[in-house]
Amino acid sequence: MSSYRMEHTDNGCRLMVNGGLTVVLVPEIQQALKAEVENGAQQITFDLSETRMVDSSGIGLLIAASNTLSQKNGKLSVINTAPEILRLMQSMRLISRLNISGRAGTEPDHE
Amino acid sequence: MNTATEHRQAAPGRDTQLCLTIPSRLAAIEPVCEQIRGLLARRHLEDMEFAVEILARECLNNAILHGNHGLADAQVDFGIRIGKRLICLRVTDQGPGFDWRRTIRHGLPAESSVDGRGLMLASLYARRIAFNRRGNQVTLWINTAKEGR
Repeated sequence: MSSYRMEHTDNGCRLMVNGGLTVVLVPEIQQALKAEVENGAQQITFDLSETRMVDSSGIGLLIAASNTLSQKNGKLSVINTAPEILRLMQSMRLISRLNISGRAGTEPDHE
Repeated sequence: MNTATEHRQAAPGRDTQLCLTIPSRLAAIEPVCEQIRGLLARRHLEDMEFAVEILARECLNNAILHGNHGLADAQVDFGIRIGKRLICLRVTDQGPGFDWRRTIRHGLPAESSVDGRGLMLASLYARRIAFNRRGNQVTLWINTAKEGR
């Protein structure tokens, strides 16, 4: 079963997703992020060090968060991404847009 | 998985096969993925896990959310056959079907679009994707041979 936890930072929050960033978890995270942005979050970081799966719904959530933050001069980052997820994001040309970085030694190729 | 009906598993011969009927609920997807991982492990195809699982998830998501329109009393049929060179996935919902021809004509979504990437994602991992005429059944074939992926 997938879950997430959120830590507040100086100018936003850091989300750690355990298991899958998939359709089951997305609505719950969406609500939590909405509240964060309404409270002035400028920097949202998704830490995927414990994430083994992302589906199109999870990708949609990351893009929506990025779109919302851009409008408010904020920034989204995705860090510690597993190699398989990194390859998927590369294929979808989302590395730059979503500021995605891999786990140590698995940095993405340039798009 | 107590809410799914299992039809067959580990058919005789070289192919491994599993057919399930699951309730049309998102919570039913995870147990299916656990079974898929188990089947792949038994066939020493752990390196196929991500590709097969993401395809299964996309098809099941679509069947439950769009095909069956979220109707909780509907069902979804799921099948996987693991052969020597190909893995075949088939998902069937009970809805009226979707216009896959129109979706294909629309092509890739805009970069900032938050949805519409399911078919694009499937095409990254599947060698071939086919829909039935009604549009309520999708079949995908995935190469198991490393050189074919």
